[in-house]
This record gives sequence, structure tokens and C-alpha cells, in this order.
Amino acid sequence: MGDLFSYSLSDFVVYSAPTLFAMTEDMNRALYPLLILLAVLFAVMAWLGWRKSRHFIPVALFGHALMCCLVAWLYFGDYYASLDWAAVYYSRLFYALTVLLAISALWQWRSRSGLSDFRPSLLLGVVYALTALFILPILGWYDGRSLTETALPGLTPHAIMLSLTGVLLLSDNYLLKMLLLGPLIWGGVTLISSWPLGLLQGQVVLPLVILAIITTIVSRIAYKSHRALRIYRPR
Amino acid sequence: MGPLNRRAFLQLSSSVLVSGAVNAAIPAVSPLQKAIPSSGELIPVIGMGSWITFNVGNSVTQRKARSQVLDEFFNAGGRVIDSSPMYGSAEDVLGYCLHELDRQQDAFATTKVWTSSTQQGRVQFEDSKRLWQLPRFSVYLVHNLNNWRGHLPYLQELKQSGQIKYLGLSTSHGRRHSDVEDILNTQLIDFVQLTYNAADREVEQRLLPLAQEKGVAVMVNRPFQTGRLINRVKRELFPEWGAAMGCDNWPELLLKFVISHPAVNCAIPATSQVEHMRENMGANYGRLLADYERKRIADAIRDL
Repeated sequence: MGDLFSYSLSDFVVYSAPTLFAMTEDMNRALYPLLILLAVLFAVMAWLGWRKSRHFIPVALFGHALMCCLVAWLYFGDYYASLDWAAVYYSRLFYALTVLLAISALWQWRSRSGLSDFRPSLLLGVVYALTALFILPILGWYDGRSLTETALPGLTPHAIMLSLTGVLLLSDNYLLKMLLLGPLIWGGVTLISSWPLGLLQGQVVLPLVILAIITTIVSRIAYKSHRALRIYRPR
Repeated sequence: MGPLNRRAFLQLSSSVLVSGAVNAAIPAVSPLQKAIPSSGELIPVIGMGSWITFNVGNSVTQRKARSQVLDEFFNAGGRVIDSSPMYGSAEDVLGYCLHELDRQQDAFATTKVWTSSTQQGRVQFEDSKRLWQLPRFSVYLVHNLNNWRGHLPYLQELKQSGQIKYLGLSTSHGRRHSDVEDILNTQLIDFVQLTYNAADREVEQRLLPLAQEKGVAVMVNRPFQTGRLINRVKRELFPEWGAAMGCDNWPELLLKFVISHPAVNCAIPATSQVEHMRENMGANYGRLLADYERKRIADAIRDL
């Protein structure tokens, strides 16, 4: 057991930040046409959300299933696998999420559940989606990534996990929010490498997911007890 | 001997000029070398690690940059190169660089088995050969003692069949020293790799004297404490007493501290920069330090 405590987080990092950035640059260069399709997907999800369409949640879940699959297959299965032996395990996590999200999308399509009535959840959900799209790339720049080395939403894990957290916050289905376990696991895993490398992009995932989980718990308590009527808007 | 005509004069003078140019590119003195106790084979005291620094994936730009680092290493008399399947693409990148430089025959290639499965260990050895693009390894170690009981018989098989020259095990960060001690006392191994530097000196107490007693060569990883020692000393002016020891900079001095221990055969600092490699390889030349000089270095590091 003493041996275990002799490890530091940096012992689990087998690459340097510039190497990770160069890998991302290579990936961006090779896959850039795909980014146009992903931008369209994001636009469709945003439009449905803006209209408060009953199709928003299932489409967003299906979109995230697609992106998780892309990340598992391309990011972890190909590019990142060349740097880190643990990529195969991360890939499995994202494939598992792909399946769960696809099943959830079908279920939500049939059950026609809608957006959450808990205002803080709605607000945070939108903030997380915007963070995934716009704030994370800025944090990447702060980390030292150049424009061409930017980790783009849809193809890299942090942004997907944050936008998925946002979608789950927006949903009014509490069972669906169990899927927050995926972003929670990823947030913990990525902190192990992001912390010693000093990469802010990866470090923000875990605290934001924990905040989302706390918000979900609070909303559940509020719904159950009816003691927070000022912030809870009944149906 | 015939008369020195114009043609003979030109041939003679051009050969003198060419040999002068070649000699200028090669260090004038031989690198410091130490003998592997189990065979007497000499290896240079400064080798090269590849943890993090050579894990650059498929980026051609970064691979070519690492080739330059490796070229500098060889040109400064380096031979011992260390890697592991744990280091991501490092083995693959080393294979690429060695092939590009056409220096496979110059490498004293060291890699490791890193799996808890004995069967998978056999697959890993073949993978390592393919990645390094080498038919055999000089040293093959059990990484961090991972399933060493399962792997050692296979390593012995490999040694008997000539696919590796030396076998052993590695540990780092001062972990599992009592296990290493047991293995040194009970198993026939050629090499042990462990962490030793001017700040982490625990191995001086038991492991280094035991390795010396048992005739086991010692390869030292993390001689700069994964860069932390360099970060500590870089704010300090290089001391005059360091220059009096024949060193030009802190990395050289810190490496001389390590390799001057009588039990240590070589140190394997890692770097991704040609300039740092040049500094490291300074320790490959000159003289080894006396005990009182090593003590002065350790005292200076402690007092920083």
C-alpha cells in the first residue's frame, strides 16, 4: 500500500502537452471536412432547443451518441492511441456511452419527455452547451494551443462530455440524468493527466460535472418536497 | 618510396585535410565507459531514456526532431537507449529514428516487458522487436517488477537463444526496494534499473552495495528527478567548484554525481531537445568524481 502512495499524478502521464497539441493538429488537418457536418449537427440541436421542440432531447441524445462513437473510434481508437496505452479503456467508455445514449434517444423519442422545469437546470444546461462550444477552445488557447491545435467540439472528449452534461441538465427525466455518471467518470480520468500537464481544458470538466450533479439533486429534492417553490416552476 | 610529385602531394594533403575534418566531428577523447559485471562488456556511462520525450505518436515533424536528438546522442558517443511498451509510441518512434539515422547497429537497445500476463509478455517481446526494427535487444527488463516471477523464466529462454544479451528488472521512484533486494539475493540477473540522483539517495544504503556485491550492472533512471532537480538548480549560478570538477553545467554535474558511484554503470536521462542532449552528453567525458566531490554535490542540492 505504501508503494501506491509513492505514485504521483505525473507518473500516469506518458506524453507532453506539445505532443498532445501536435496530435490534435494532425487530427484536425486530416478530418476537417467532418467538422462541417458536426457544425450542422450542433446547429440542428441548437435550433430544436431554441424552439423548445419535443424532439430536442432525443435528437440531442442521438447526436451525442454519434459524437461519442466518433471520439471512441477516431480520437481514442486512432490518434490518441498512438500516445497512451490507456486509450483502449477510454475508447470502451465512449463506446458504452454511445450505446446508452442511442437507447436513451429511442426511449425519449417514444416517451416524449421534454425540458426541465427547474430554472437553474435550464440555465446551467445552456451555459454548459455554450461552454463546450466556445469557452473550452478559449481555455485551450490559454493552455498554449495554437488555432490549428485547438481541440474542436464533436471530435474531442472534453467538449462532448460538457455538452452532454448540458443536455442531461435540460432534460426533465431524472432517470436519464443517471447518464451523468459517464461525464463524471471522464472528468475524474482526465484530471489525472490534465493536472500534471497543467491543462485547464481538462481540469474544468470534473468540477462542472459535479456542479451539474448537485444541481440535479437539488432539483429532485425541490420537486419532492415542494419547499423551493420560488425557484421551482410547477407544470 | 617514390618522389613526391604534384599528384602524390595533392592526394596526401587532401587526405590530411579530410581526416582533420572527420576528427573534428568526433570527440577527441573516448567516452567514459564501465564494464557490465556479468560479461566485462564496456558501455558508455551516459545513455538515453525515452519516457515522455519520445512518445510523439505519428507526428512526422516531431519524429524528425527526435531523430536530431538521437543523432546528437550517437555523435557524442552514446549507445544505451532505454524504452518500454508503457511509454506509448516511444518504441515505435525510436525504431523510426534508428532506421532514419541508420544507427541500429550502434544502439545498446534496452526495453522491457510490461504486462501482468506471462503469455502476453511473449507477444510484447515480438511487438517490441517489430517496433524497434531490431532482431534482438541488448537488455530486456521486467518493468516495475510486474509479474517478475512469471516473466523471468521467459527472459532466461530469450537469453539462451541469443535474442537478448542481458536480462534484469526495473523499478522507479524508490518503490519495492525490499523486493528488489530479495531478487538480487535469489535470482541470476545481469541488470537492475532503479532511481538514483543527488536528492534521492536511498539506494546507496542497501541496493547499490548489494548489486555491486552480486555483480549486477546498475542502470539509473530519473537522474534529474524527472526534471525537478534541474528546475531547482537552474536559478543558481553554476559554482566554481563544479567547474573544478571538470563540469560545464548543472546537468553534467548532476549526472557525474550518479555515474561516479562505483556500483552504477550508466544513467539514462531523457530529453527532447538537442541542446539538452549536448549538455547531458558532457558527462560522458572527462573523469569520474571522488567521494568527497559527490558529497559536495549532494550537500549543495540539499541546501538549495
